[in-house]
Amino acid sequence: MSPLLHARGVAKTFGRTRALRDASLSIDAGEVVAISGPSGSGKSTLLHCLAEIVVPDEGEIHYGGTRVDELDEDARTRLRREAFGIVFQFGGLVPELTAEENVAVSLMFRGTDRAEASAAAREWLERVGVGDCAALRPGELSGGQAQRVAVARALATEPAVIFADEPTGALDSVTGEEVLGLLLGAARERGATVVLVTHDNRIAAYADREVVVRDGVVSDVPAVAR
Amino acid sequence: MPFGIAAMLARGASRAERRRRRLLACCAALTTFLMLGAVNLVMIRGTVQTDWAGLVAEEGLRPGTALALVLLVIPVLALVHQSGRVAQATQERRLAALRLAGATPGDVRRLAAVEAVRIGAAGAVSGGIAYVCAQRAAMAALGVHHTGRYAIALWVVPFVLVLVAAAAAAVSLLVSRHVVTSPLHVARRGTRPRPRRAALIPLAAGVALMVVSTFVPWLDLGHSLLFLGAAAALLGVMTGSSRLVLEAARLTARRARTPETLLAARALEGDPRATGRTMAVVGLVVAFGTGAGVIEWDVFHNASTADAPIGSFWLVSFGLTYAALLFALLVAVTALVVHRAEALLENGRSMAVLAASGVPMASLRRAAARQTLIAATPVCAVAALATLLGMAPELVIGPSPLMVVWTVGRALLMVALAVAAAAAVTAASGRLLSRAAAPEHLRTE
Repeated sequence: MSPLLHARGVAKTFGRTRALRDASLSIDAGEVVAISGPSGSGKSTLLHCLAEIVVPDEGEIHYGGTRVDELDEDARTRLRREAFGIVFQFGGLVPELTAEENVAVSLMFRGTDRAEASAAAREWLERVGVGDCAALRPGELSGGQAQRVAVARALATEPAVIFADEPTGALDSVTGEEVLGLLLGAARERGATVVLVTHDNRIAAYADREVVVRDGVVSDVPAVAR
Repeated sequence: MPFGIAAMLARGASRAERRRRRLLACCAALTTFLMLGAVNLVMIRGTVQTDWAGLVAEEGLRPGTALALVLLVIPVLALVHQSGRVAQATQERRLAALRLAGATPGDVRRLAAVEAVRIGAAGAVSGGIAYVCAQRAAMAALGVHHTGRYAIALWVVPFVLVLVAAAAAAVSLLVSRHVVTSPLHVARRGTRPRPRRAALIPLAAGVALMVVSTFVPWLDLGHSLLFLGAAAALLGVMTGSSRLVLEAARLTARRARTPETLLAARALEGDPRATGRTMAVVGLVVAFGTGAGVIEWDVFHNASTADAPIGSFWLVSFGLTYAALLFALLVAVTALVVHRAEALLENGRSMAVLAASGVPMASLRRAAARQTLIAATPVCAVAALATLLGMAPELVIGPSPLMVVWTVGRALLMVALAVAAAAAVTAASGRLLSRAAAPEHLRTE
């Protein structure tokens, strides 16, 4: 079976900084993969390349057997909208929208009408445990609540792949594990693939497999070492 | 202490910061130019008969012309305020770092004020020199004989320069009054109260006074009431525009069917004051433009009844009025671009997250354009409607039904032009949005 997501020889440079060098990685459908490594090692860059947020300078990215790094910006945007869900360290919620609207708006951009999107948003907020915060704006939420809303937003569109860039990085350990539990639980329930960037070994331990990025080079972490 | 540190900070300024400083200096120069023009006009004595320069040469008209010049400072001040806000984000980070280095909150405020005075003074001196030179060049080009009579007295210039520099410091303190800097972070002091409905009272009172003035049998009192009503209505447009923006945003958010409209309406609801300030100036342009239409009709009608050509006094006066309105509109829409930049500095990251999640940049641009339309349309429409209502009795008992058609058509044209200008500027500033919301900016490593 061919992998769902496959990177081959990916390299990316920002100015004079070589963030990734000859990075290769294959991820199967339904797999939960943690990308770990020290700060500045290139792990977020790898995730952004896999998620088609940035285009690599060299190498190839394949999704579902199709090469996607050569797509134009519109096609990559469509791919992210239709197939990917993304969670960032600091939520990235729109500050003026309520929690419910933040989730609903991602569905509305996919063509769902407002009433239906709002109903689905409320349902997702209930599932991630912040149903009572639906009418609050991000500024009125705690860090954990905001991150749960961000998780609901990423899951609401039922993506095939969820990319999470340090999703627990700004949370205390208990809240972080709760949020991660929700994310992985919902993803596994639906058979979605999860690519998770973290520098925390305890968080990486939740994944089926761990790869480590060091100085822009990717290597597998043997199961025995985890 | 603040002077030395301010100089060090000035040397290390980023390109964006240098650009903002240039913009502020230009605004200070423009304000000085306009203020000197107004002071100059007030100081001229006596009347000289001219064919075309009546607004300057006739003693009875000069105070009105001077007032018009002072009114032109309003859009410039709105731009200065907006430019000050756009700097806040950068300045706040820098000021927090200074607190960490041992500066007290007072030091931080003084530093900001010193910087504003420095920039304001540089702009004011440039504006002063430009005014004196431009006036002399204009008089030479126009062959004015009594140059000493019209030229500005040089002893006045330093007073205006000091006034402008002080105003720059005051605006700086005004902008930063909601910001608390601690060594660890920068916080905005609680959210500001929403604009109140009461802010619309001067507008309603002004319109009522204008209507009543038509029925007052004593001419002098009638004129006084008309001017008082017009002043109150204009003040009402300025004070009430934020409330109008808020109401329009709330209504639109409730009925929004598309995500772009929802994003636009909620963004306005979150901060109606910033957009309201800019739209107030756009609304004033519409009100003045609509009012000028009535005078225009009167002049054209009288000329055609008397079968005489329109005097050059009127042609020049109309030309200058439209030039002034165009100037005010240009400054106001520039302030709108600056406001967009500020909003993107604050919320660029959440826009970038939306773009990373697959929201097309075109949708984000549409949301920005709708934001302008939601704000501009009600403010411009109310400004035009208030002017028309104020003049309603005049129009109804007027000499011709054509006058009503002309004035209403003119009001609609002013609203359409102002809204289109604001929307066009927002569309043109799409590059700012594309840059701020580019998902590549989410890189943290």
